Amino acid sequence: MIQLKDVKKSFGRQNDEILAVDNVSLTIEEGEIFGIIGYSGAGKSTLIRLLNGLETPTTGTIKIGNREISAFTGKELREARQKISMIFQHFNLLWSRTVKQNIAFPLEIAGVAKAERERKVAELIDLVGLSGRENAYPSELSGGQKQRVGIARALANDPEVLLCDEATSALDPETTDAILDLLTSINERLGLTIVLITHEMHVIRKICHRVAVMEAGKVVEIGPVLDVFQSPKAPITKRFVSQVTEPAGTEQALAHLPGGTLIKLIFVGERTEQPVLASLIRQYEIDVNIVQGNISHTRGGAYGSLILQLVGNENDIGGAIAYLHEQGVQTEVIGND
Amino acid sequence: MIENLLPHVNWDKMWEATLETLYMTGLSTLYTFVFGLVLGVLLFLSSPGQLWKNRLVYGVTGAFVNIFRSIPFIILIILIIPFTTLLVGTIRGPEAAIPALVIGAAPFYARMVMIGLREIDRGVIEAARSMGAKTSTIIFKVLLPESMPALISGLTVTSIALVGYTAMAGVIGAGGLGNLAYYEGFQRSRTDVMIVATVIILVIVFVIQLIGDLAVKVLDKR
Repeated sequence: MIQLKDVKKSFGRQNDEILAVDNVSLTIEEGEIFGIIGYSGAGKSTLIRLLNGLETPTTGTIKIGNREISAFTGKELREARQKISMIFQHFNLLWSRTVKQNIAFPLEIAGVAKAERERKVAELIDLVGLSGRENAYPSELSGGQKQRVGIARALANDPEVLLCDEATSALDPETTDAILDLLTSINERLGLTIVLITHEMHVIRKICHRVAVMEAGKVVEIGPVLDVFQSPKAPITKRFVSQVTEPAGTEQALAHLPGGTLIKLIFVGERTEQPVLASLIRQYEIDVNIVQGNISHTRGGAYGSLILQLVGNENDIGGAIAYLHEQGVQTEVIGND
Repeated sequence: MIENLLPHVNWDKMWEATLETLYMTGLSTLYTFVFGLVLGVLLFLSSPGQLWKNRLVYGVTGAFVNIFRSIPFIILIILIIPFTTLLVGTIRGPEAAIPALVIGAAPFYARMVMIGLREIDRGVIEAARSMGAKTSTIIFKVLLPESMPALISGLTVTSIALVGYTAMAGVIGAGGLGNLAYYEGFQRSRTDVMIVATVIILVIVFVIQLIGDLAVKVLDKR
């Protein structure tokens, strides 16, 4: 659906050039929710703007469907953009227009007749759950409602791709979840391909099928979300994963724990539902102390992590760890006393 | 009663002068709005980082605006007398004041338009571009509506300045309340005529301000 090939984008003059996107090649499948995560300055904002031609690549090609966006200009590009819509962190609604008029704006741009516009707007207002607020102005809406208007507006011309530029970063956690649920249902109902950029692993975990991790303009890791959670390779990916798998303060809690062997277990998929721990305790002469546990649900399945303190003689502890490996539980010794 | 207090005031002349002032202010405000808007939008769009970023256009437009904004109005009127003669055929009467008023006020308003446009969130323009909007659509459906309160309050200020300019234009023969106050009042030492003319000018200014404020209040949905 979306293909980037050797894409580079640099800003500035020859002498102090900034390479925002550095040789990125990736493919995004049709109907997929694809996440791009990175800290600010990683180049993800530039990358997503290359997809609708708001930025043009310095070198490389970008194809969406069978259209080569990176080669389009003028009218061709404007028409292509009607099928690649975008939502924004700060919503970017027109304050001078009501909810209805804001949603109708892209239809006006596309030259849709008034009656058809009104029918479509009514349908979209219903879809995003804003019935009753049609004639409100953006200033009268909450952040979540504003983003719903943004989403309705983005869907007006029946796009093939929806680009989300930090769409939930200005919202509180509860509203974030509601907007993410809305995006998921749109993805499922309309079969829309969604590309989102974010700095929150929570967003990736909750709705993405696949994720690319960006650092200094490069994609350093890419894969299905569950795989990346289970075995992050790049140091930056590990940091992002720990955002959701380790509650704040875990490290401090571990530092103050006296004695024993600390191990971290990672369960994926069905393993999370089996009583591995109970049998472990029954089989080995050790004391097991649960330090911290966590289960995250991703689109690809559940992912759990558990930190245990094992107290007992070395043989038993060694045996216990071997047993866990045998059971297919990924085990890592993170501290030894 | 009023006759005794204001012995020299000829109300017919006063009314005629008031109408002339209103005529000059109204017409020059209209032209200033149109020309100032075009200049302001051009200035904004050609400025660095905008849709039509172009150093030459920005430089030339900016210089034009700055020069005509800086020339004292009373000198400007005299400087453009040839132009006025060419355009209107005469340099006397309310019509003859219009070119000078517009040339004096449009650059001033253009700056205000630019300030208003600059306050529009860049993200909104980006959103319109991401929907495939043409530049003309962006101008008429995003830039102008989104900056409307600023455009109106700028026009209010400009229009009030124009009332003052018409009084100055009056002194060199354009008619209106300024003309009346100066020739009938000041030069003949008729203080009452000056006072009445001044009060009427004040009322005009207050009414313009009131209308402007009201319009901004209705339009501003932020």
